[in-house]
Amino acid sequence: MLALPSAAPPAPKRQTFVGTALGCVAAGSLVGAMLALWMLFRTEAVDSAGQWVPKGIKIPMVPANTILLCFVLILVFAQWTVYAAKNEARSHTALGLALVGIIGAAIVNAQAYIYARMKLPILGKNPTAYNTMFYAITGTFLLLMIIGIGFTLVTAFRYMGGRTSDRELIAAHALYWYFLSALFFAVWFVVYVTK
Amino acid sequence: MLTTGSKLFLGATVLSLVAAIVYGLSTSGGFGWLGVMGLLTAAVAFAFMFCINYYTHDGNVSAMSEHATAESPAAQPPATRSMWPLIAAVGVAAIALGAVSKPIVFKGGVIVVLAAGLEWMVQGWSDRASADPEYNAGLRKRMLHPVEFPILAAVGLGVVIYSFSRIMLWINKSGGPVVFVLAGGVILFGGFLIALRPTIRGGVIAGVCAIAALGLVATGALMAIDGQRTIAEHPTTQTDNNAVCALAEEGPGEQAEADQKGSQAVSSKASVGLTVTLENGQLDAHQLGVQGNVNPITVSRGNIVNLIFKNKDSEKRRLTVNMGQFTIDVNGTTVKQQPKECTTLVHPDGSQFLTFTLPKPSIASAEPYTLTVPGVDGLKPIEIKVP
Repeated sequence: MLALPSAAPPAPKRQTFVGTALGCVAAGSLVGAMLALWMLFRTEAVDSAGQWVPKGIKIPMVPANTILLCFVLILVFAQWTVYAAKNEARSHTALGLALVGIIGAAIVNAQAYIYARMKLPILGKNPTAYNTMFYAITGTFLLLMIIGIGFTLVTAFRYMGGRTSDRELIAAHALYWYFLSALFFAVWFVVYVTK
Repeated sequence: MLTTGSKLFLGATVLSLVAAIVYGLSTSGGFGWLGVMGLLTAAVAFAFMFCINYYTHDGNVSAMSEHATAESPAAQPPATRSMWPLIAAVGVAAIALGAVSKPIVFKGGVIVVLAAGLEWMVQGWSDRASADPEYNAGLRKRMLHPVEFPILAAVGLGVVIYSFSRIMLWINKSGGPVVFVLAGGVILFGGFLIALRPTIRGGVIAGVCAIAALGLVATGALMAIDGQRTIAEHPTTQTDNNAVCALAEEGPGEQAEADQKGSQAVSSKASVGLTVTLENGQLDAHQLGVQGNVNPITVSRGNIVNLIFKNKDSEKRRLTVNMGQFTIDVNGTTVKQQPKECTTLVHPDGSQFLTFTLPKPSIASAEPYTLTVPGVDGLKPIEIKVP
């Protein structure tokens, strides 16, 4: 007689959620330290040379502001997935996850557009701390974004693959995007606005 | 009710915040900013951990929870062994190396990370499909084998083909066919032996195949490192800066091969704009869409010109396009350039296809653009006008 095996034991409680939180704290501390160094170099450069942003470099604010607005949408959609998963609305959860992933990809695209528009050399003829710090901070953020998109893909796969009761993963996913939103707000204010 | 862990994180948050304020007020300049930003970051991180810790009640399991024994991490079966984290780490290392070395290493790293991520994801998912590890492993196989096997086969085939190509490029021209025959003979003989002994174990066949594949790949790698043999470039009419285009006879030395083995017939083509015929010692040009023969002909600047040359003469002839005369400055010295393009020698009643482009207008050249046939006395060249 052919019988289906018994169901897997329930997933360990809050392991993913706490793990994600620890990852967020680690990444937040890293970017926070980088922003502190940015402020140090900026103050020193302004005191000695009178300027921080190299001559001829213009920061395109439209895509930077667009990224900020995109994060507002991501917050809404990430929370929508949590709400939909809680109410067992599978199609809504899938749609929310897809939107988060697509908007995340759009943010990566916008960041690439900023790089292309600025044409800021990594070293150039007269390398300054600005060049290095700009790419270090925004590059780290870009990496966190790519990890976030990967997180969304894994969450979507697991949820659509039948683990609809694993709401903790959805919550951890939303937490990660909340963290990225807060982090970008700090990066946006320090790197793009105050320059 | 605040738990012990939450209280500690709350204390650390308040301490960091106070320290940031005190440091900010007592220190100015760049280092003031550095300290304040660092301490504020620590305060935010501690505050975040306070919230998480408070939400999870320090990770304590309630004695009243009916699922406590099943949901606790200690109650979970250990994760199955997996090579994908290791492979993903190798991919990440390749991305880092590729970013500062060669793009192919970077792209390879990205592919490895994506593939390892996919495999890891599916394995993680299948591990919790049921309580039976065997069933879970079967589920993973059912999902991924239809993707894995074709890709692995394609990669394996590619490695074999690439290794064999390195070997064939390393050995000399005459030795190639011998190696090919010998390799074919060995494979045939091996197949014959296996067919002769149907009771031979599968493990033995797999072992022999693995050793053969390893030998092939190792030999291919060695020969790839040593480099391929020198393969002389086949001469064409463009060898030696189109010098042969001024000759009525075969080119000198190895260039004669190009004239001797040139094609003498042209298949039907839709893109021909011009037909040039050599007959009775004169050239006639028929341009598509224009009635009768024309001289001069007009072509567009920068466009590709496709023509067919027909030789109705009793001798072998070639059609040459004189592409003007230009002066250029090479390291302060003025040098004259007379670019040419030509067909190989066309046999009597033969025809040949020629493609060329004139990137500059006629007015830019010191000499007119012409179509001519070297070695024919009294031939009137056909002028090409480029507006």
